[in-house]
Amino acid sequence: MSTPTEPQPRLHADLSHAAATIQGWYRALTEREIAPGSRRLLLCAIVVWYLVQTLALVPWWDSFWDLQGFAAVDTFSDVGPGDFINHPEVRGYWPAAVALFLLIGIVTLCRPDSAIWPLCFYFAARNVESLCPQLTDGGSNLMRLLMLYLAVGNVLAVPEKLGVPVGACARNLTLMACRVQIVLVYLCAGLYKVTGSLWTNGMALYYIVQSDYAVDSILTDTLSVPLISFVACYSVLAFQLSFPFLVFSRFRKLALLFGVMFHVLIIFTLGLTCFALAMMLSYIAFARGHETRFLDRSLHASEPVEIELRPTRAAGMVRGLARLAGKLTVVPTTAPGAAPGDALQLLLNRSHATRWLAPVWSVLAYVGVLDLIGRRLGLGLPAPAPAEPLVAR
Amino acid sequence: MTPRISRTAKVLRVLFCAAFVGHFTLVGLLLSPANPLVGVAGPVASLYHNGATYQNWHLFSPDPGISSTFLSVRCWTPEGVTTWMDPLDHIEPLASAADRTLDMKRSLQLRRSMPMKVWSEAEKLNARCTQVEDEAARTECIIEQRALFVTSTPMRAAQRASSAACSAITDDTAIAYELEIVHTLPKRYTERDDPRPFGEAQRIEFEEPFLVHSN
Repeated sequence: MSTPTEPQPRLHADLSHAAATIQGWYRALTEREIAPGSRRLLLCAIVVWYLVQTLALVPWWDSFWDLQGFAAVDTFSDVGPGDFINHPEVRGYWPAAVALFLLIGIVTLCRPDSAIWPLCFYFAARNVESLCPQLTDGGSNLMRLLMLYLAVGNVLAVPEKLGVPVGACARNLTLMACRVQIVLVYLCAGLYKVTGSLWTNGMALYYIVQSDYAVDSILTDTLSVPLISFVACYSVLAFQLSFPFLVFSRFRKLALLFGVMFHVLIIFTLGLTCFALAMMLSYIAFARGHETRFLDRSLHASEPVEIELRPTRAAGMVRGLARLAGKLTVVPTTAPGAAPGDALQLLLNRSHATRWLAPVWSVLAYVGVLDLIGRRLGLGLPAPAPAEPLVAR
Repeated sequence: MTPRISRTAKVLRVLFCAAFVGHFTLVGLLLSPANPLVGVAGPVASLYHNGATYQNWHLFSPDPGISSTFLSVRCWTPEGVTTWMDPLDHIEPLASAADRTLDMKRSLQLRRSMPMKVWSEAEKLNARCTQVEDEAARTECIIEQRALFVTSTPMRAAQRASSAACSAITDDTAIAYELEIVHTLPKRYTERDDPRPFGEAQRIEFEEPFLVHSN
């Protein structure tokens, strides 16, 4: 029998240490939210990613979403909440589904902590994806999962409002789930690659750039050089296999920097922009609380802004939206000069922190709209191919 | 002093943590390579991840899918026939998918997926007849599957694209078109100086032309 003065057996000491560590983790995860700003920003980034890629499809709605479009899939009656839009009696109302998706997206951006809106947005986004399932890729898969985790986290935090202190626990676990999920993406992709012969003999990228994935660029040509292809293959393997370990260590920023570089290269070699953006945006989950506080406060100011609007129908709509967004307190007025458009301006300029962003939003919106109109009209695109020469039959 | 936490909160916290661990254990089982544990618990993981939490992170692994599949069409007009071309080069938004450094409209996936779906549909239908041993029955099976193939959803999409492309490049004078689905593999490294654009190529050809349908 051991006395207190005798040294503890090694195994017992190790187990005690492990138990204390796990208890410490449990306390850290359950007692206080570790990075609320990162969680909110991640959710907003996912919503923006969905909105942008959906809005970018709007000029070609007849190809992507219409029942007679090139991408049309057969309707089916065995539908769940995620593909409800494919029910034969509902499929024809796809414009309403897209409009609802956009509206819910905007409200979710304004209320990222809500238990209802992120979940509604998740289902709306899944239904819009189901209109054209061919467009989904690994990036969509990751964004969908992260959105689900974040939405469920908000739902699980609801008892907090009834006085049961579980909000921090639910939201921390949500953020941890996002981190683990991202890590699993890289770990699995890396491990699967090691089992393939083309990656280990260094020729995978040589073959990828030969296929129709590749973008015509100097980078693509460079990857056709065997030595460079070999080094690039092993760099990809090293990055994907080491990311899960580096990102939880003191080399976190280095891992994230490598990740950004890796995905920027994917954009310029394979042209998978949406996928690369999804992966890069997901890195917000690894940001520490203080790193995102400034941006989070700018985007999600807690104090409502008071504005004056004339009591017209438009003002009523703005008031309704503002109430949904929880950001503006609208005071009816008959004073000249107060117009519904001012609401958006005030929303953007409501603090010093976001004022400098207003010109950026304006330029982006202007360029985006011009680009969409130009592309719809066929401007700026390569001239249409001339009719092929006719050959006698 | 740490504030007292109610029993409900404690129970809920433990439940949340257990759900987190359980979920990621099942994710691990779903994604891990074949091993005895996956053999036992794999079906449970697959069942759990059948819906909203389904995931697949192959991302160009174990070996990248290096084959390319595309449609090839030539249009018949009263004056003659055009040369073979890819109809997707002549249809917005698919045409501009070639210039896709910033492919925010995601036409690339649609452009790639359409011919690939046609090819995989053909493979799926063809596989049904490989099990038939009797020669006559197999011939009958092939004829039956060919009819199914032509009316399948991927083929109807390919026909819509071909029809639209023929109308576009012949100013609506095309009356019919011939269609081929071509599946190619890239040249091996040892064949890199070969002037051919790709290595091996397989084709699905149709004996009869298709009629152009005006929009």
